[in-house]
Amino acid sequence: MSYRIALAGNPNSGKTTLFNALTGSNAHVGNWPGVTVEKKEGLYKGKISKETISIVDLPGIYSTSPYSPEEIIARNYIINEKPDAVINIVDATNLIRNLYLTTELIEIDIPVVIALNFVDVLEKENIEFDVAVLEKALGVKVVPISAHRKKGLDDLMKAVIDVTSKKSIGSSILEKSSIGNEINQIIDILAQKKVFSPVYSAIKLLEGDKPLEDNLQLDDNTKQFINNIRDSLSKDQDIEAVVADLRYNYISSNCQKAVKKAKQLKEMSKSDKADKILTHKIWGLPIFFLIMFAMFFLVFGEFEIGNVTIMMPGVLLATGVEWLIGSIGGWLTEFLTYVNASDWSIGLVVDGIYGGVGAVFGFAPYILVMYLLISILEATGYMSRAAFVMDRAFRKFGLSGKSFVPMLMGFGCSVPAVMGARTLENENERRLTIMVTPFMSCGAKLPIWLFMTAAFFKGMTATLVIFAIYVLGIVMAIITGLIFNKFVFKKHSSPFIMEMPAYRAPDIKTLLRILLDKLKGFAKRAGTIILLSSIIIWFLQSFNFSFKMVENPDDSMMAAIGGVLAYIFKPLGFGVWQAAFAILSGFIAKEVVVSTFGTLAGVGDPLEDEGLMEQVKTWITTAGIFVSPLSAFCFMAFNLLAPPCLAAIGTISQEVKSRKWTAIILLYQLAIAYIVSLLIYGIGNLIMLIF
Amino acid sequence: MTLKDLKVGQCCTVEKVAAQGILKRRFFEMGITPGTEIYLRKVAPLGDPIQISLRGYELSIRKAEAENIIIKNIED
Repeated sequence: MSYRIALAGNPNSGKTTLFNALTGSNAHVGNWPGVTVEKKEGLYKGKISKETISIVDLPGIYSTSPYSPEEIIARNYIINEKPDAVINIVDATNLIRNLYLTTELIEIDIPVVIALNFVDVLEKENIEFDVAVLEKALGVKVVPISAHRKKGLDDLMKAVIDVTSKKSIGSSILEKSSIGNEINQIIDILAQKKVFSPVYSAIKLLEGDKPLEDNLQLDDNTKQFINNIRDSLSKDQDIEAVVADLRYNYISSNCQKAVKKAKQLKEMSKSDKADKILTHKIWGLPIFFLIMFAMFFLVFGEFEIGNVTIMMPGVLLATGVEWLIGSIGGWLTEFLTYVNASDWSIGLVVDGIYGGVGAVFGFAPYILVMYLLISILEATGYMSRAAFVMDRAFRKFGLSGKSFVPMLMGFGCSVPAVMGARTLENENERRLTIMVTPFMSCGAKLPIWLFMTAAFFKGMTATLVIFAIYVLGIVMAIITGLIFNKFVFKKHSSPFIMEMPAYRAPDIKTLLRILLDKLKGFAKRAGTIILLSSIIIWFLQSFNFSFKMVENPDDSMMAAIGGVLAYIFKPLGFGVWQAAFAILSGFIAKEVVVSTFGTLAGVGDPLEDEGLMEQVKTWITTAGIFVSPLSAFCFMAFNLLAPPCLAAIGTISQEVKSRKWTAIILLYQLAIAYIVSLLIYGIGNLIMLIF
Repeated sequence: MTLKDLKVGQCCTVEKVAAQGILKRRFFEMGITPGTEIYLRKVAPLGDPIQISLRGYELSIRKAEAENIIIKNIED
């Protein structure tokens, strides 16, 4: 025998921790077919039973009403796939709200076991709880557990295996309520029709659940019968309100007693006390910015004391990885030379494959450290506070408070930033956030600004130009928000109803698992899309159209392609093939733009050597690529706003999970880059003409 | 009066939820049903959203949503 068990519960009830504790490292993470909600399935690793038990982690939901994608998936899974049992995880410190979902789950004809989580927190605060009260009130087995301490898990699985073999008939707390009579009438008729879960279906039909009604395919007489009951009940009351109210009242009067001391309305918990400072009317904002700055600093920070450079974890790791990539590259060349490999094969392997993939891997440490810190903020519960504090400001241009964090991360690297937009539930806000995040000037674009300003601007102007570029990105993000909110998303304004979960210490194992998943995903991307494009770019810049290797890149296919593209860039002030070539190569990784100028100047990578940098600067100012400092600035603006590097583009397509939206986002970025550069060039020239 | 007009530190009882569709549903499943007691714990630094305490937990909603909750029995 093999069993399938579904794991259902509220968000923040410790579901992920319990799932990880039960399944260990053998879970598959994917997506539910056709939707962006994550699907996790794993085999139970404990030794309670000889049977194979697979556990499916359903998305966190507050009820089984058919509105959000999460609710639809969770409900359809239970109703259509009919798992052998459902583990309903319940947060013992937030019992009343959590049990609302429970009252719905026990109505379905599938055995339910309640995993009462965070009992260790109650014990710590000397709050007594009585499992028997809950079991009596709800009629199902209740097992106290602590998911992150891995306590009670064996008892839980014993109880689960015990119920899987038993047939379960759903029962409802509403059957004996003021509308019990009507409910029982509907249950009877549904039972006659041999409908699955007559109790659950009866109540949902009474509430006017259209998708379920369609799914049941009832005959017209039955439909009419149910409609009559519903109409007579809803004459002077709102049935949905009555049902919700009855559920909550039942929980309050029968289940609340299970915990000897529930939090009173005005009472301050430890979390509330922490919030008194963290979301304070005056201090809330400065503290928020301080936390964001600290996060940023831990990833990208580096400073000097005397002549010692102190590097923060992100930079330290990245430096190590860079060194490793550099060394391996060196050995690779030596090895290939030693075995007398041909020049073209050394070029392909070292510059093409290894160089391209290595350049992207150099970013992995930043991404991982950033992701770890964000996961910690998420796990502790601070993310909800950040959204609470920033929501008003972001609301103004069609984003949500939850958009702030991804956008801030965008200044570091768009890849984790775009992934960070996952915390946004609203599809439109998420797409908008993903669309504008790459406008934040990322770390890899900085070398472009430094190089270009050093060549074309002097002293204070250079600093101002770099500052202007950063501001331009932020302004374009705001303008984009305003445009899309006014013309594209106008019909969809989603409510902002967000739980403020209690602050909790993050679970280290869950964090490590998140990191490992990210690393795997990253390696997979580097091994596929980036590998392929690196080879293609190398090929284009090393060969001509008769597939002969060229000495001078001027004769390469890339020069020819760049030459065609150059016409497009002419109105922006940099209509030469080298600039077009640099922009194209920038799609692989933005720092490649500067290296490309180095290659084109025929001196090597200017990022590696100060002296070379001077030569490249002299070359670029005299080669006539940029006719004026203004055209150089337009080139910078284009690189800032144009679609990001391949790694980020890949992430965007992975996160929006829609070809149409990936295309819209990339085309929009391309259009904005072109229009803004064109405007800057046109208006700039006009101003210069006048003065 | 609606929940939007409640002052920080005040308590009230929900009289009616005047929302429709998904918003009404959300309120109900989060425990905002007629008769529920709500305490306004704080307002965000920029004036919106608000943080309320009900049924033993904390919830944040925007004022635009709070306007749909009709309240009575306001006390300090």
